[in-house]
Amino acid sequence: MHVLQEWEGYVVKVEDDCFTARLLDITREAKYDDEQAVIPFDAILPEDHKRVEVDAVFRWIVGFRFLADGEEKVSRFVFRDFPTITEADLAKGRRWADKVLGEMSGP
Amino acid sequence: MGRQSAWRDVGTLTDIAQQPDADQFELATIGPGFGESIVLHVGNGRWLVVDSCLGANGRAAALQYLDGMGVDPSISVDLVVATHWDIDHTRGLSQVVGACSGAAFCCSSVLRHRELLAMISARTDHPETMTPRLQVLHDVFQTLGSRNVRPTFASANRTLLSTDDCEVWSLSPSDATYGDFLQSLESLSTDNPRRATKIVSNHVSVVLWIRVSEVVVLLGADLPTELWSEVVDDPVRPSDRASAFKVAHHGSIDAYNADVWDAMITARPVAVVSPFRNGRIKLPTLDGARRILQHATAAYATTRRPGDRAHSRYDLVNEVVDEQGVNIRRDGVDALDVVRLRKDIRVGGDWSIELFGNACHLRDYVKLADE
Repeated sequence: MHVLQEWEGYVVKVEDDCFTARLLDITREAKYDDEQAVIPFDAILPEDHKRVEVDAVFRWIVGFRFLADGEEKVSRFVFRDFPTITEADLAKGRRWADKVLGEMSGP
Repeated sequence: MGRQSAWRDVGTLTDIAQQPDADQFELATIGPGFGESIVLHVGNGRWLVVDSCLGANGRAAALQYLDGMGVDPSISVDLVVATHWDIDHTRGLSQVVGACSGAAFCCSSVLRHRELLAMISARTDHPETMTPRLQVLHDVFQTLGSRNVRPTFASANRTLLSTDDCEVWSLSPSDATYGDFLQSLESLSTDNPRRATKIVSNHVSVVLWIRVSEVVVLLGADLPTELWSEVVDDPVRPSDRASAFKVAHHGSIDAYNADVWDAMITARPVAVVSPFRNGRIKLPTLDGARRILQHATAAYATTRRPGDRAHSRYDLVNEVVDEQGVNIRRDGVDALDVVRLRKDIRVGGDWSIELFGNACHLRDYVKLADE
């Protein structure tokens, strides 16, 4: 596949037939997410629908690929799978919380 | 109030660089269409910052605004408030907290909850899951901890700042809302990896009542309609009415409560709303804007435009985007979109109103939305 455009995005709102995402333009080497897109669910794979929730992170690639009889336009969304946060992670989080709350107990 | 002679629409940062006089109160609401930040001058070169959004080049808009006036945030800002942690109110907040090194920091009382902080921090070993919303919170608390700065945790009827001339009160969240929030926190399943992101923050957002001498303003945060009744009916809250109101939740109907206008706002107020593209809906909706205009003929929106269509890409990319029915808008942040209100602290009188960037009267916003 020849990539022409690449974004990284995160979901800020989910509606019945679409979701809204903030986009960081990787191709333009944007420093921050300065674009907002309303994306119909039809634009993503059915198996990804369950991954669409607020704060979900994805990569969106647009380009084309060569076929025997020509070229084909491609748009691909890849949603990140979130690792399960374990009790050990939470315990570490509690230690951090205790630390910052303790540090903040000054004057 | 009459239309002010100071009403002008200029539009570049150099034009908004004039500092207020020492005895002028200032309420500057910055809202580029995604996000909101408020900068206040409370007299004698002392400043407050409420919430954060981004300006040009990813810089915190409040810092860009203060820099433009030659104000050093490290020595001139006394208080930074994060009303809640939705990303449209916190982008750039860690920059603000970092730059305002002499300021106190205030956030919603629910953020003192250990388990909530633990859930946020549990993701630090999985940086790929630290979304901007959680990262900002983590960075802010990390900075405060390293400085040994204890935040003020805002709740109903708490004094956040009190000097000879200036009082800053938080009017929310109430004890009842705080309790409901803790309950919702406990009910989240421990095996849901995304649970920290599901916590709604509008309900625990911090409404601010600010008085400098006889000048009173009310900043509505994103508090929803049903929770405004607790604020309005609270017998302990300060009773002086505000002559300027930053309308709650971008003018959404979901945050409208007529009792607020009747009980907490003066008869001829100035209202400011920061529009927000919220999915397919643009806030305020026409209905929402008209309701504001029923209460305040002097009502202003920080921006009138929905963002620029992003076109500078390969034709094939634009074709694919269009074919998929995706609508992309690029933020317009070359110039700050600001509604600035100023008033003499001692003399009082009408507000001087200045509009910068794409700010406009709310009537014009309604006309544009109607077309």
